Amino acid sequence: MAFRDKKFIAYQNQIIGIHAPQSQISELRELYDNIRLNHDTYRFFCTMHSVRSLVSMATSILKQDIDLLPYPEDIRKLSFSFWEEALREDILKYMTKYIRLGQDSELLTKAANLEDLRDYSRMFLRMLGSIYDNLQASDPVFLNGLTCQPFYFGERPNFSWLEEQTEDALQKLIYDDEKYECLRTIRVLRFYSENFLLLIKPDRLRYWIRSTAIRDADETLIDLRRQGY
Amino acid sequence: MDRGRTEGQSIGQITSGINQGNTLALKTIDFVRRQLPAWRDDSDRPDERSENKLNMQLCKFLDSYARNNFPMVRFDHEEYQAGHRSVDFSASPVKTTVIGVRQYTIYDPILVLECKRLPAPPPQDREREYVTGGIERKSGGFSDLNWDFMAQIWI
Repeated sequence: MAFRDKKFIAYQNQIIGIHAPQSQISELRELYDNIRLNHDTYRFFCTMHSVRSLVSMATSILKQDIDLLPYPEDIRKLSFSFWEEALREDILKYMTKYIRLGQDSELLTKAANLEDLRDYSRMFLRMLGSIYDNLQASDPVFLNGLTCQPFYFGERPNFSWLEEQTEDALQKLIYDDEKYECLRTIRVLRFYSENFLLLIKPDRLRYWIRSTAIRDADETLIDLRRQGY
Repeated sequence: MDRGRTEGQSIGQITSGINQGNTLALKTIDFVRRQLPAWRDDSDRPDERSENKLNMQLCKFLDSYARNNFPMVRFDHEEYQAGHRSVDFSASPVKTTVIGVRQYTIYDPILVLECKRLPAPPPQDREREYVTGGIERKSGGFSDLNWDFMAQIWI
């Protein structure tokens, strides 16, 4: 994306130009600045709505997609809440590649590391902590191919027993290969006891990005309501 | 290996650490209560006297503010009840949830709120009716309101 206010410019049909007479140059500059400032948001809109991007082409979009971009008089109306921003960033950073590359995408080739788990926990706590304000996260436990993220309400429990448990039972709980021959079901396990909650899932990054934390917070809220809280 | 079907499953029960039952509904009431002064003093808010318009303003304010500060719940104006009744606005979960034996959906709130304007327009004894009527409706005088929690806001 570039702004040009001097001399003639020619370009091919895959480039879109927005022209204004010299008398409206300040408005054109404002338009350019606003689009540049909200570039990620506009990319997100194109990714979600384009009939070409991620459909017939990987990243290419149509002029029609540009025409449909929102441009409110008060540009602040484009602002997202913190969790909407997380969804936008995950879609742009991970989901587009996941759709294009599948098994070869970062979401499936990379195991979530400590920093990924910290981001996940922060998002989970910010969502669910708005209601259960004494909810806190403990350090994640990395098992063989599985990751367990503990949370607790109030006083910190002793989680040392977690690393002593045999992993086979957990593997069987998470990967259900017995129910159907041709379909592998992967469970996201939420285990509640006393004042703690364990989230146990495969270690792939796909299960531990912030947008997944939002969904897990929703589902945990359902569980807690069912339990009378 | 990770492109199979994914399903969530929960086991067990929290037995300590959360001190209050029905925390979601009570926290929602607390959230609404804490936002009332900010809504009253909002300089962008047009001056209105009509109870319906005030209700709508408050509902929009709460829903907008909740996006960032109370993200598990959203607010809707004019929640219809059985028959011709409606409550002024409601708080709903952001996705389908089963609570007790009942399935709550995004169309099915977990808390309803009624707003009453003060001072009450004539006849003046309405203020008494606000209290007694509200309590009667909740306590079974009007059995069509089948809610565990109901809040009344005086604006």
